[in-house]
Amino acid sequence: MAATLPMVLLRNRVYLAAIISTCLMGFPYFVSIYAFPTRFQVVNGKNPLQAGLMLLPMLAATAIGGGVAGAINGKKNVIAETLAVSTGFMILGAALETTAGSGEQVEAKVLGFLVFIGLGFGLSATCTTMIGMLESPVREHGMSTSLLLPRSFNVLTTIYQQLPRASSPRFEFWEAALASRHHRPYWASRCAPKQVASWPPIN
Amino acid sequence: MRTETGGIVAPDQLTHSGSGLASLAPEQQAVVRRAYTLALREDMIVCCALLAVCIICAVFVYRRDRVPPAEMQRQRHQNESARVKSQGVEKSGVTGGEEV
Repeated sequence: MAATLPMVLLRNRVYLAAIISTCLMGFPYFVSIYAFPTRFQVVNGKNPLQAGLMLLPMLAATAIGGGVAGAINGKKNVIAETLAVSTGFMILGAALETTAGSGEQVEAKVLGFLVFIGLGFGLSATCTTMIGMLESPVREHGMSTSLLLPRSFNVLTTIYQQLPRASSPRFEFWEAALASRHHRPYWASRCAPKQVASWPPIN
Repeated sequence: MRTETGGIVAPDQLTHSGSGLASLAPEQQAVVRRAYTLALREDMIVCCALLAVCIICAVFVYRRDRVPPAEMQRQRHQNESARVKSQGVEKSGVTGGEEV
């Protein structure tokens, strides 16, 4: 265990906080990368290429955020503050995204709020990478930075995707819709009897 | 959400919801759009909750006795050099002892 996961790293409060922070901040980013293109395709009727291109503002903001965090922390150590600000940006972006409407047209604000998420992630990625380099002994640099690689973010996202939530488009939306006990009579009265007969039974 | 969206479409219409809603009636399309929007909202609320925890983590990253990154890195390399040097001395001492 000690050979693969040096305890000297995990005993370092700053480094441990950075790892947890990385995992938690990677989650909204990966959720956004997954959820928004899906939304652009299903809700806004875009093709996959267009949906992917719509993430460009967010990705550009990530790159800019990374550079800005590096420039800010180059000479003066304000990593903790930068990390807090980056989290603030991401919270702002995620909170504002809850105002997205269900219209067919792509809302400019949805793309704009994604920029906050991207910018926050870029800032935080640089900060945590710097922490990985600065807080670990030189002989542990390799392990230190690899623990902070994006693959560690993915753990939470993967778990989240497996949660049995009916409201997510990741799950069979249609099954969820058809299984509704509450609304089925309403829709049954508006659909062809043949269609209604083919619906799966309500559990 | 499951209860909000309702049973709206036949199974043969269900297969590729991601490829567009053109084959559905406008009423059905509206329900699907609403379902995805509510799902996104829920996702973002979960994200906000996790990010709130993240803010707390950022507090633990704070150090009172901070030094500039360049200085910190220099210290790390100095420590490593000292460690390597001391290990070298120990090894040579052991080897010397064996030889004697």
